[in-house]
Amino acid sequence: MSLRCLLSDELSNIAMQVRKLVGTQHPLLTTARGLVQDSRNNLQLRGLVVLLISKAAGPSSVNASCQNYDMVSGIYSCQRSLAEITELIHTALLVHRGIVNLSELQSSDGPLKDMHFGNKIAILSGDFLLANACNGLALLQNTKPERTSSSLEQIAIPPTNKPGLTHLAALKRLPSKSQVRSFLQNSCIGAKMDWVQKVSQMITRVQTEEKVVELLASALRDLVQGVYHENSISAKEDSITNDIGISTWKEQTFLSHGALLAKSCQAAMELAKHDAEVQDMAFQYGKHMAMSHKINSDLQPFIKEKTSDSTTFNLNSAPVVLHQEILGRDLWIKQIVEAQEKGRLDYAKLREAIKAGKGVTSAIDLCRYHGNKALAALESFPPSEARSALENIVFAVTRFS
Amino acid sequence: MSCFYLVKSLTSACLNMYSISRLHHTTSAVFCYSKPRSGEKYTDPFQLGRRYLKGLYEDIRKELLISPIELKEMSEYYFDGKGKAFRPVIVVLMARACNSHYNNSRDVQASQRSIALIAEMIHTASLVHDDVIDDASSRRGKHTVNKIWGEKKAVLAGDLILSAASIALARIGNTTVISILTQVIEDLVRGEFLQLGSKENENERFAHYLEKTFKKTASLIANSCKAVSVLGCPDPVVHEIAYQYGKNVGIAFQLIDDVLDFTSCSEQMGKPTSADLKLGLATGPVLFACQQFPEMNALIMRRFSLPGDVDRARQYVLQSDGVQQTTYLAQRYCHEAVREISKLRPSPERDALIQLSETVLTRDK
Repeated sequence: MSLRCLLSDELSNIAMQVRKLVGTQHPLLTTARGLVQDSRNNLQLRGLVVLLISKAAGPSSVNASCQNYDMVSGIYSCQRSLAEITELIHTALLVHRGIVNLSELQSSDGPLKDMHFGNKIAILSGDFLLANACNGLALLQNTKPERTSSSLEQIAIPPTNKPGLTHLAALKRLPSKSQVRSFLQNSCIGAKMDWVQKVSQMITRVQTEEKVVELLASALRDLVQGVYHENSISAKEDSITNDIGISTWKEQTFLSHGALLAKSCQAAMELAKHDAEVQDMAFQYGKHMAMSHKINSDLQPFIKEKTSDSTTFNLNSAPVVLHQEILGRDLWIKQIVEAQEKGRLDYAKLREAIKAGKGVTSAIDLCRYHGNKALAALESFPPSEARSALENIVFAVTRFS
Repeated sequence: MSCFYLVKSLTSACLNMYSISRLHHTTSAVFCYSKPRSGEKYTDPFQLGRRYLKGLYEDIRKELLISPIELKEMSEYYFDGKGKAFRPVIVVLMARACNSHYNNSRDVQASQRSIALIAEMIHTASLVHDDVIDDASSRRGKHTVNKIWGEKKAVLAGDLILSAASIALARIGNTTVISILTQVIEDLVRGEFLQLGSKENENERFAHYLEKTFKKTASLIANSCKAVSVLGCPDPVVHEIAYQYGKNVGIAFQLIDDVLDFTSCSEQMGKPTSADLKLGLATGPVLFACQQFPEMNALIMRRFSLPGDVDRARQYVLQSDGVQQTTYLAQRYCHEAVREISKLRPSPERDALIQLSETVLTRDK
């Protein structure tokens, strides 16, 4: 899957600037390395899932108005673009996550100007990716965007002499196809059915575009909120973890990890004009698969056989949040205090404490719960290679032995 | 590049143009002055525009209703109604001017009003990010988002405003309009990239400067004008007029902004001056001054990074005719804007747009 923007000047400019960061401590360098290297986390998983679910759902049996779209290997070109756009949005926020607060820097982080420069490049790169995503969304269904609106205007003039349809604006505001049909029939006596069909198809096309753009834009909004929550660490002195229960954790993780994939999968269905039920199943798959993927990655520090003592883990990750909820806040704080030596947290010791509790097993159960939900959503899709691939992804992220 | 030489030959041929009253004086950095209002004989185009924008900022804030309160506060920070609302005013006036031209209707469609909101939101999102990039401490007379809440959150606030703008854009449901405005988002980023790099060749520098000016400032205005004209009327000739007006006014606006960075003082502007020099940016006045003082080349090339460079450059500019030349160039762009918009049928809004382009030249903040 090649991103069109890879061919641009800006990206080589970015690459050049990122190279200047080598030797500094700016997080962007780590992010960039992660994106370039072939690693487990760089499967471009989201894009892949969108492609697979598009293929698994196939063309809509109900709606034949997609006849004009190109289809290659069972996937429409607009769905392919959507997969790219999803990856662009994900990567953009990944890059923006790496911004550093200048006022919190310590001497060990290196010169201020390096960090400032790193921030600059991180913001610009992220914005560049977002701009490409927005442009991609605008171009999704149209090779010639001007044509769509003006052809709509032209054919909105009914083929009779009777004064009926006056304003195009009224036409565009009509919400659904059946209402369009009756409105047009009532106001244009003698209008031919195929003309009515043509107009309503164009309207549906515009509505689909609107819906897909709105879905992805709202996914971006969710993602931003999710990243915001990730960043907010309680400012209280004695606690370095949030006092959140697992249900709040789930809400925030849906925003930061689930929403984008869920809404993209739904949007892919919308592009192929599938009905609301199919869209919902795709949404559910995306959501639950993303959740189990996140829990799986949270569990890695606790289930790997050989972990070096210096491996740190996120104190707001699933197993830790569950451990805290089961143990109770006070005992958890006590464990943190006990694991601190001269103000520094001994992660190895804390890890042992967590492994001794029920947090890890609860997290594994939660991961499997979401995995099963994802599989259940897939059942409504007809059996196919693509569907099996999607099932295999779930199996891979829920396997812990 | 050819524009640069055009201006040079024109200025040397028409020196009496400098006597046009609306030029800024070059002042030393020590004191500042405020320009007297140039005659109350015509209605303020801003007043006319603002009438149609009642509730603009409340409506923008409604688009930003999200749960983490702090994130909401950060995103709303600049939508306090105290900004100039320059872009929304132009958009709304253009909407009515186009509607009047096409079918004598003076009402602003809901979708056209949305464009005003969206334009202001896109503009603000880019400002929030720019302030982090430039490590700016104040804007519009108050502290920047990055100084109050930190860089990480400021970047997220900018992303949030952008996503809200995109959602509002999607709801308009016009694919042409969506394309037009997403082009703006791309241009804004490309403009920032242009600013990162610099050109060695003196001749290329001016073209580079104008291109950056278009992308960073004029594109938003030009394309928002075009978008409302598309929504109001099907005639592509009108769309082009709207676009050209917006583009020319936008460039003029930025040129004057660059002049004010030298001639005004920080209290009036609400942000520190010589800001461009301090960021290593060579703007119009500097590029013109360099013609007279070739010593400036070295300073430009090293982006005023050595101690004393900023002050030296400033002195060169104030001693040269850089400010006058830039102002003259801005006037040319304004005249072009007026020429274009005059092709529309007369209406109060069309006349307001003409007056507005003149206010661009006479503003002092």
